[in-house]
Amino acid sequence: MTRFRSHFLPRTPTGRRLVGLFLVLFAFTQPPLVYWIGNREEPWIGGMPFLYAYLLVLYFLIIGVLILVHRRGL
Amino acid sequence: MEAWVVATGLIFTYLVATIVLGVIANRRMSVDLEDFLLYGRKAGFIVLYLTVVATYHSAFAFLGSGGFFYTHGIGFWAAGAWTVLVGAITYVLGSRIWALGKTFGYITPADLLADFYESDAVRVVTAVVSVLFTILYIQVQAVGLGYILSVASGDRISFELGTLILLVVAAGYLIAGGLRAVYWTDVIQGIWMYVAVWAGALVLAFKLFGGPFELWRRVAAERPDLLTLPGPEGFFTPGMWFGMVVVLSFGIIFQPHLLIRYYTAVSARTIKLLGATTPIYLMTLFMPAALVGLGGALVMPDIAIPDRIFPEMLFAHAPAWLTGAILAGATAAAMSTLDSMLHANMTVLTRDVYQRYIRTGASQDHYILIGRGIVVALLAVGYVLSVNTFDFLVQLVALSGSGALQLMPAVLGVCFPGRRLTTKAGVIAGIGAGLATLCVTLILVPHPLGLHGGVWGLLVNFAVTWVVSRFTLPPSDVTVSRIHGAVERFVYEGDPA
Repeated sequence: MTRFRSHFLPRTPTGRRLVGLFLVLFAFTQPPLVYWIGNREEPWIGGMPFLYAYLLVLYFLIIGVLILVHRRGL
Repeated sequence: MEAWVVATGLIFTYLVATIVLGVIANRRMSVDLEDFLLYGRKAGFIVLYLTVVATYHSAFAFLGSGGFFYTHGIGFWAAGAWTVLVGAITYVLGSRIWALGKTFGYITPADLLADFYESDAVRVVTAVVSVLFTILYIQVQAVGLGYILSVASGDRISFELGTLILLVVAAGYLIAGGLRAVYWTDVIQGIWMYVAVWAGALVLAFKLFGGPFELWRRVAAERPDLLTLPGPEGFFTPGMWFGMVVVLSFGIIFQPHLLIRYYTAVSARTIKLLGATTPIYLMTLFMPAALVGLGGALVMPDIAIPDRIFPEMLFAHAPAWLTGAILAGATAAAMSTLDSMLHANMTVLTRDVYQRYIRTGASQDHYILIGRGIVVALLAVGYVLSVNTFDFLVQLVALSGSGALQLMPAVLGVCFPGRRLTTKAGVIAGIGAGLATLCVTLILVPHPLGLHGGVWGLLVNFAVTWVVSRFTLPPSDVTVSRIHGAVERFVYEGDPA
């Protein structure tokens, strides 16, 4: 019977590092972390709401990881 | 000149431009089903990028997102999370779907699943799920279009007539030029809607508040309840946040109008670059929506229908030409999704139903003709559903966002090789159980325990698929070797063929 190694787990060290980084950053945009860390009333950068700025920074970091993955040819 | 004249004039100018593009696309088209349905698998990065983002963002992103911020506050910024997830899914899953489509000549999602699971039943179930849950979105987009034209003309063009005009135009250029016309018009639509929503939001922010930062300060001072979770009405609970992220990323991706786009890329590099960069557009389109919704909560706090906050603010505070340009952008947002859904349903019905079960082995000409006839039929169905009120539609639309999500275990089983295989019995049982669960968790007892009903359906689906697959026959060794082998070679050796 033909079976292949699982494709859900990255096989190279670079792949593991970048997938791990993506998942960690993404976890910060999800409950419970976003409620614990981001859910504050005080404004942040330039008077932007804290949650808005917090998530904006995370979203751009995640996009950065995706672009890095692409540049590494993974 | 009055605002409604400018607004309506710009919308009709835009419509004429789409028709011209449809005619030009028709002249470039060859008599080839793959060209008509899949753009000949030649879509380059810019065209594919703009068609994917324009298709993903519908009238909801233009009108509904502002309404969400207006009503539920900053919690809707979770939208950024599902858009970056769309990028990751496209990168990882979309590239595999592209490779399999190129290698084995797949045209529809059902082609992919039926080939691996060696089952006509899987083909039929996939086709039914694909068509059922997107035909409802055709109705949603058509209603949005009728509403936009009606608002833009100051109710001089009735909702019914507006819906009919815009449906006919979208169907017209699709019939003329196939997917090539859809892609070319999506390029205009993608650019127009992005510029329009940003321009409108910034003009309103500067005119009413002195700029976005001053707007934020005013919201913090006057409506701090809009700036924290779960929002003024308690909508954005952790379960709803997580559920919306899953349903509006995977759930949209698994709809045929987006899955089919993955087949059309010219190369693997194109689709991977698409995955890495689409979130830039998708996510940043929600930034001006936050300004509109939260600013609108200060200047128009008692509006009856929150989804109307953007056009209402424009008519009240923006110059007529800008209001017209922005409403044309809203039209573009809805039409780019509508035409893609018409195309996807036409493709599924032509390929998976007509070509497979009604008349096999006919000429390419014949299937293209049938495809065009199906578009006309879909146009009629979409129009009837749009201008009539059917009680069952309300419930089906509630299901539709999560319906296509139920294809997820089946698609993962094809695209992600592993030691344990998913079986056709597992897939069919899983989809059935998932859809049955959705009826309970979205209609009878909406969102049990605060978790989005779509996630409940997906969890049950995964569990049933896994259990049934353990006790039933997997696909043949030859098929597993052929298809999973192709994925293995594509991912680890970069060989799509």
